[in-house]
Amino acid sequence: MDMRLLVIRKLQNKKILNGCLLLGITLFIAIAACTPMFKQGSLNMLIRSKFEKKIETQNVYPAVLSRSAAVEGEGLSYPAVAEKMEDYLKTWKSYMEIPQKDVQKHIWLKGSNIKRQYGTNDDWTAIGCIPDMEEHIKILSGESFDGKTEDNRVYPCVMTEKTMDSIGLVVGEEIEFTGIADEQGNALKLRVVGIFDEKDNVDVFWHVNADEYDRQLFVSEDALREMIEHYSVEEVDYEEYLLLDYKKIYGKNVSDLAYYLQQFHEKDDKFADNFSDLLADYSRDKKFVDTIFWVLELPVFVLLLAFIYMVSSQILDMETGEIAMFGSRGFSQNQIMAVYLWQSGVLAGIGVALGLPLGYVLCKTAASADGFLKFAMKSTAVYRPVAGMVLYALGAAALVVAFLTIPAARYAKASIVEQKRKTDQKDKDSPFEKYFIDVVMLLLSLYLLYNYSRQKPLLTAQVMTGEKLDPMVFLNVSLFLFACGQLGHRLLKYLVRFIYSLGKKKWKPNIYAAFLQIIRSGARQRFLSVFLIFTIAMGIFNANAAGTINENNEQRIRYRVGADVVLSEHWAPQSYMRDFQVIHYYEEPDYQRYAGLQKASVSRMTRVVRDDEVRLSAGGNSLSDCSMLAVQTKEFGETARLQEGLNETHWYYFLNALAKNGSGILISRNTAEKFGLKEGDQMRYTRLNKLASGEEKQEITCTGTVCGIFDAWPGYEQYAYGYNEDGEWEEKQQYMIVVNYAYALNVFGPTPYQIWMDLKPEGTVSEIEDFLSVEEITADSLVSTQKELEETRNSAIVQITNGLFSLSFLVSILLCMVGFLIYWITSMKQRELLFGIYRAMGMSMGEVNRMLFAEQILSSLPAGIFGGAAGILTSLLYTRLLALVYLPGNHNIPLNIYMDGADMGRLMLLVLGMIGICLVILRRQMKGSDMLQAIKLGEDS
Amino acid sequence: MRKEISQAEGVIQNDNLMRTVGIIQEDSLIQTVGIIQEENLIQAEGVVRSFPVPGAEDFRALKGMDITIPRGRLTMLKGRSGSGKTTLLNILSALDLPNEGRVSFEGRIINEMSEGEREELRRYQMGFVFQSVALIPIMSAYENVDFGLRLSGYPENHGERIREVLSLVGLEERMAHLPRQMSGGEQQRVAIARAIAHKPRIIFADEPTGALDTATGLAVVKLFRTLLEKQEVTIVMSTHDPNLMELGDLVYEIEDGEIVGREEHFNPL
Repeated sequence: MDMRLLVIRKLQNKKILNGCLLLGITLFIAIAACTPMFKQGSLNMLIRSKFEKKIETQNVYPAVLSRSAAVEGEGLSYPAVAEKMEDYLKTWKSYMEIPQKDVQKHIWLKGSNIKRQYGTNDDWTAIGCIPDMEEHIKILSGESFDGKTEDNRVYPCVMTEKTMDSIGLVVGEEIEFTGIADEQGNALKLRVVGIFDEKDNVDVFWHVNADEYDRQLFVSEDALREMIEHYSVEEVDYEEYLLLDYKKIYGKNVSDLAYYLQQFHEKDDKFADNFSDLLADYSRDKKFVDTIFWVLELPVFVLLLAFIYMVSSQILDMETGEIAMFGSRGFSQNQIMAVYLWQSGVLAGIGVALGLPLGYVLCKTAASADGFLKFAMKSTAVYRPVAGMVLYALGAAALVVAFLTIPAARYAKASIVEQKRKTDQKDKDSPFEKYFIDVVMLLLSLYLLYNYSRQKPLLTAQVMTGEKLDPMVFLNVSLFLFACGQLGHRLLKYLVRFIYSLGKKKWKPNIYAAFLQIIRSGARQRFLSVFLIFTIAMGIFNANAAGTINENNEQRIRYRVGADVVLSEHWAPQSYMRDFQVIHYYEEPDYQRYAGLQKASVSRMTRVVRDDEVRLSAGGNSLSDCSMLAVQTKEFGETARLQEGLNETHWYYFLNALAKNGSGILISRNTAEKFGLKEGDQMRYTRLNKLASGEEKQEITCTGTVCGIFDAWPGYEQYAYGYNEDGEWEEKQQYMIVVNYAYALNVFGPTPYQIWMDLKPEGTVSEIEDFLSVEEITADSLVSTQKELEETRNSAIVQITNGLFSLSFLVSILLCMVGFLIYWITSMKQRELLFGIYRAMGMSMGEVNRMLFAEQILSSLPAGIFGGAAGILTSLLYTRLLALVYLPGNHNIPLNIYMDGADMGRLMLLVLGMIGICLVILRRQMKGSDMLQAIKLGEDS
Repeated sequence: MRKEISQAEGVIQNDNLMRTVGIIQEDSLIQTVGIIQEENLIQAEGVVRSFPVPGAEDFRALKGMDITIPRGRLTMLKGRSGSGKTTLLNILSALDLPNEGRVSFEGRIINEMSEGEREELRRYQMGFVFQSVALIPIMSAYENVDFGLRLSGYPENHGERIREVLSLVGLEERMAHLPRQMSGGEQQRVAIARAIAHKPRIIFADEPTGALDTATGLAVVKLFRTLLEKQEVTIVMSTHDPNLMELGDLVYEIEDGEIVGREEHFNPL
């Protein structure tokens, strides 16, 4: 028979099983194919978010290459300068494959003192030119410089309002540059014809804001050319900026980009860029993303391969006779193998065809995850198909083919007799049980866990510095789950045997048969138990791990910010003269303006002075760069937030103690330990006067009595991580004291404070932003818990985590359901004959149904419950290690394992539902089965 | 005249010979057939069984058959493959129902029984020995017999009875073995032990020697004869092995759904 026809017939013969196998293969290939797309998309999102964050926080265009230099000497000409600038631009572009967004050039003649028509002379001013600037400016007063040069060679120029203020020039005024003259000795003359501003303040052309060109008068390109040619110009300075389209910088470009930037820096000391640090930051995060993918996907792949193995061995078991028949008809071993190679090739081929589009859909679904199993309608445009998908799909398909074909070799080799002996052996105790491999694996996994937990500081440093982690740290979870599955089956058998022995002589025949079915069905039952326990436990672990990471992340953000909103208004330094000395001081902005906020979105607010450069000293020791919070106790207590249970007593007790002692201080536990302080001891704290100059007092010190020692405080993070001076990664302790606001104000005078706000339930941070804009309040910073949480949820890494956890959970549940149903359907088919015998012997249909129900209760239900328990245990034991990747380092809030009962409840309901569906299917199948057909009474008569 | 038989939870308390389910119509019990002048356990009249064939006329497997099964004897159904032996056996054993005709078991009309009543009949009054997969593979010889006993609600000590019947079939030593650990003949003997353990009125055996070699087949039939003597049971078996015919008390020859011959042999118990 034609091989292809034979394969198609074989596949058709076991439609359900091959369908399930195809499902497993398709999912395996789909997840493999989804990986490069998801990873690439995540990295694109990561780099994009970094650029956008830079725009948001630094208000600059985030991807700029620049060069700043001067041309001097003989033969100086404008075309020579322009050509030089163009050459550099060409070189950059030839290496960078990123499209340019814009180019900005700035050429100027070194400033010199000027002789003014109206005002004071000798003000330093430069003459500049920005090619094409005419198209990007608006004239606020006067006209543009595009008018012709006056006959007496007075060049028209424009200036910014800022320059106007700095020098005091007016429109129409003529200026003479006394230091620049033509061959006849005539000084260079310019006339201010207008005042300009940027036409559009979001125009990337103004990457360097016009206001930054202070004391510079702008002329046209032609005018500058003439000046260089006709006047005694000895040096021309220039700056050029190449603005790359950062939206076109994808993850895949980064390493090339970083390499070329480094090369440019090495080869050209005038070269600069503003995003090398961002790329380095990205590269560190990329390693982290690689680790996450590795950690989260590996167990799913293991599970899928286990599923494929389960179904394919089921099929092979059923085809034992067929294989023997091939052998008896003269098929060689190789030919039999070829049949299976063809068969798995066909399945893998279909798997690739289906898996690629499914991988695309899975990736888009995972990318839209907003939380664990929460999918939102949001743009996933950065997640685009990549060529690697095909490569990954083909790789997975090749693995599947090997996985399906190699076990067939075992069957093809064995004769019928050997095969029968193997089948007999299969039902005996597995080596796992016989040699207690399950217990050994469990102990090994626990030992590894213990060992890794001891190495936590090292692992933390590895995570933080982006070093690759030992994969076994995470594979260990799968090992534990697998060992739990095996051990679960052993315990389940003990349990069933125990219950069986309780009423051995009294069990009704159907229950008697059910017990023996569970006890004796060996390999098949074992695989089902292990599979059920593994998938359920993995589902629960995924849910709990995702919950733990998300919840702890959010708790830490709330703790770090300390309140709903923390606003720092910009305080302008002021000065006055006293006794011929300039005294600098801060003028406190009107706090009452914020009263309006309290009517709308803010329920409470308080002023908090925060200084992170305080020096603490006690008992001859001192420590710099410590933090000080000055708080108004009652308001602070009402506004700030602190999770309960972090201190030995409620933090309000500390506030009360501080309220009773005006000069009292609260100190963090590590401060107390560092200085050996206890309550009632004295401590000095010194603040620097940042405005001080000349003979002004550089620092102010005062002494306080320790009236409380806290472990945690709103906004206080005890641990910080970074490289030390030797370039080693280290954990640094942060020290904090809290003092009374009134006392601090009295001692240090008015200094910039933060305004901590507690929002009403309906209040949003955007209302505060609007308020600041209306009131024209300049904020140095505005930190909001709400916004930080949102940003975290939308950050690439959290999204990958939630997406992969959700995907992994859904796959494990799907496999659990399908695997379970396959098991029962095929097991039912294989036992059809047995049911016929039961029925022929007079067992009623109801009794057979009750027998099957009892089998479920005795096998699947305990396996489900054990799986649930294993999932909870795994979560309790292993989540901390997994969370290390996401929440490395120590924190004032210890990591809490978060378990959502609802998630687990839903999972258990699903298992019960599955058992229910099985029973319905079995009942239907039983009704349809022909008892007489089944028992095959004398099939040849 | 009708006589009520008491029954408690499916277990008949009366003496063995009189055990039955429901009501015995004693009038039809006695019939004389040649040398076998004993009562008939089963009587079938005008039994027709046809099976639908898609796109064609129904296939008539039994074409109006009359047959009686005498109590306490070994009745053999002889015929080639497809002759209708198994169909007839299924109908006599209440596994199947005829399209036409009437089958009575100890006077009770099987055709008129509910499915539940037929199940009970099979469970308490009958024993089965099948040609293939006779045993429950997950149960040892002991457990297989025990299962049969539990099913029939056998009131006495199971252990004793199991040992008794297994020793009767010569397998007392192998009672802990699973079916796959035994030969075909041994498996069939366990099946026989299981079929007789609960002391049924009748044993149906469909080609019990079909998968066995001649000597083992002969041993099985000899075992049947021993059972007739020791267990006071009726046995109906189908076979196409001419060597075994002499061991039957009554042999029906079936061909194309009809009885074409009937032989009686004198085999004293």
